[in-house]
Amino acid sequence: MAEVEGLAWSRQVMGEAGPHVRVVAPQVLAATHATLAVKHVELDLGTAVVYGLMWLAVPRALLRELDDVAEVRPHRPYGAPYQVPVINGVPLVAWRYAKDRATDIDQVPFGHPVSDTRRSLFASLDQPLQLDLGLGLGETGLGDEVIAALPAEQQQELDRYLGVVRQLAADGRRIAVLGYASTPDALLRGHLGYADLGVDDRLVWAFREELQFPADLTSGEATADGPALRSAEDAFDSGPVASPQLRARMPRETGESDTS
Amino acid sequence: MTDRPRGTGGPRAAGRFRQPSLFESAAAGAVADVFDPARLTQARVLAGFTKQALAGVLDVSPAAVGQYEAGIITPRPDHLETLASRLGVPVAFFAAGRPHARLDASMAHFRSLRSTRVGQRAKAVAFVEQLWELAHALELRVELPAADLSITDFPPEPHDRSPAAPAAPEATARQLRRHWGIGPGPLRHLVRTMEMHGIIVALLPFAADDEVARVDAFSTSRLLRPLVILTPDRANDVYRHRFTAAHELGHLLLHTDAHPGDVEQEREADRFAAEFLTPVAEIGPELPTRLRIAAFEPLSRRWGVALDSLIRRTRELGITSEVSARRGYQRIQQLKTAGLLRAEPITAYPGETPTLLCSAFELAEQHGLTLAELASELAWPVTTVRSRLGRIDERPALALVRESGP
Repeated sequence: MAEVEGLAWSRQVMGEAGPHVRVVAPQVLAATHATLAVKHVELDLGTAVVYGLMWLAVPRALLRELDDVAEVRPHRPYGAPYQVPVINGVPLVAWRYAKDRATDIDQVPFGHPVSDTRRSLFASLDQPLQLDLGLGLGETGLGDEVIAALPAEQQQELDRYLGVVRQLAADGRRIAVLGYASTPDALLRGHLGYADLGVDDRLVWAFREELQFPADLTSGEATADGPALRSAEDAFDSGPVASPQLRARMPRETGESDTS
Repeated sequence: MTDRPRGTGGPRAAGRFRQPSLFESAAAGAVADVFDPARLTQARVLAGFTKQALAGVLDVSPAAVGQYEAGIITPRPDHLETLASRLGVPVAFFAAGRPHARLDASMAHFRSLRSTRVGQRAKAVAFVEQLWELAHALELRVELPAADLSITDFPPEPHDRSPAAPAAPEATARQLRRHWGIGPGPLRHLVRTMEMHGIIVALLPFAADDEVARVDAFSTSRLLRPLVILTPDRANDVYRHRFTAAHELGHLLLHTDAHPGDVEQEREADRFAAEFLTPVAEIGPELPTRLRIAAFEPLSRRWGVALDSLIRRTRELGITSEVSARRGYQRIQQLKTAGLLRAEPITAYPGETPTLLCSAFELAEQHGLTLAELASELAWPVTTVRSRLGRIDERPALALVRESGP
């Protein structure tokens, strides 16, 4: 039933696109982890500086993946060097809360202290942050497709959950949080949920579900073949550009040559 | 009335007739004696003059210009000098005796015949003639790769052997991939690959605001060496450029007899290009079942084809419906309009930039040929030779500065 519950919350908080975002976000997190883990090993700088760029890379990858979804728009938090996707008015924030598997996400403050940048996310975001050009950009119906793929029984159950969630989610100002614990060796744990900021700077979760990742990522065997990654060696512009073999004609050939 | 000998086009002809050198200031009177009417037509068309406009320059009737070009009468020496000056060629250009590949617009495949005017096509064809002359002059000194389009002696795959299949564009595309030793996966560096197999590829050098720049790509196999001309507007988008090059390659293989603008021939060339760049057997399993642009982008970058082309592929393979495909095209157009989908020019892709003629000249240069000598032999201005070689003149433009008094 956790599946249906997660779907219901995503649908309620993030709107029609919510179920789609719920599917995509863990994939993006896993792919980004795999990319940076490989770079980290390749560069071998002796520090975690390369993998440490996850805080920049994940929101960027999320935006890239979701940029063609109708209800998603980019938003740059106050003073931040990155943008986050805002889905149906709700920001989706990636948060690396730990570097080990054992840490309880409930016990970790959202910052030490919580920066103004992060605090600004909990403030109401005005909807028209971008000029609406009336182009009707973006794909619609992606979340509905996820729901449509459910068995009829689960769809009925989802309807029931939605009724309940609607009441539970009615109050408060929440953001969507993609929390994860990771090291360059492994993506240890991940959570997707909806939370407000508590007085003790910890997140107060209205709902949270644990994410499942492919075994090779969680076991510390990340490779470049992670989700959505493809080797650039096999592209139309890869590899050396050959040059035609040309040969200068000898003077005596000149008078006898043909043009074919 | 004159009855002049005409250029024969053979390489040995160049040896019999000593071309007046640009640097010898060929006398107009001497050139008038060996006037080649076809050269006047070529120069006029390339310079974008109508007969009437040229008649105005010479202060003669348009009929007189028509008679010059028909070889009925020969222009006076002073008229030849005026013509040379206005058409941007040396007087020696009008002399007969140089190899001249005659081509008319019906011998070339013009992709969008309906949108190109007769004058534009004539100018484009005159450009091809010049390109052939340049290639011919270089081939006297440098051995270029042999034109390798003879796939008929290369056996088709078993599944292509049905009676109808051998002529199918898709089967031809697969045959050529095998014949050229192109392995599975994306076709790398297409333009360079074509040049490696003896096809001369060139970019139309006319400015973007020149009417002829609007002529879509074209090709011809009616000369001794196949030529493909690509246009600057397509070169602004490397994916379109690649598809266009493959399309013209399809014409060279499939359509010996050009029927310019023939819709069926154009469709067949498109089918050839699609299979040549993205063979069904390979791209099919990779195509997403749902039309999400984000899912198509990595494929587009890998295979070097436009998003539209991939969506068309999903439609051809029955992966998606016509309605969904149309929605996909609209979505791409919206993204382009919003500036979210930007094309990349070919300048960043050396494998998609023609270099064969320039490389041939560089080799000939190492063996003593100079740009001035080549220009003299062709009776072209040096700037024209440089342009046809695809060389950008990077020398600064200089101007005399008049010093003001103290």
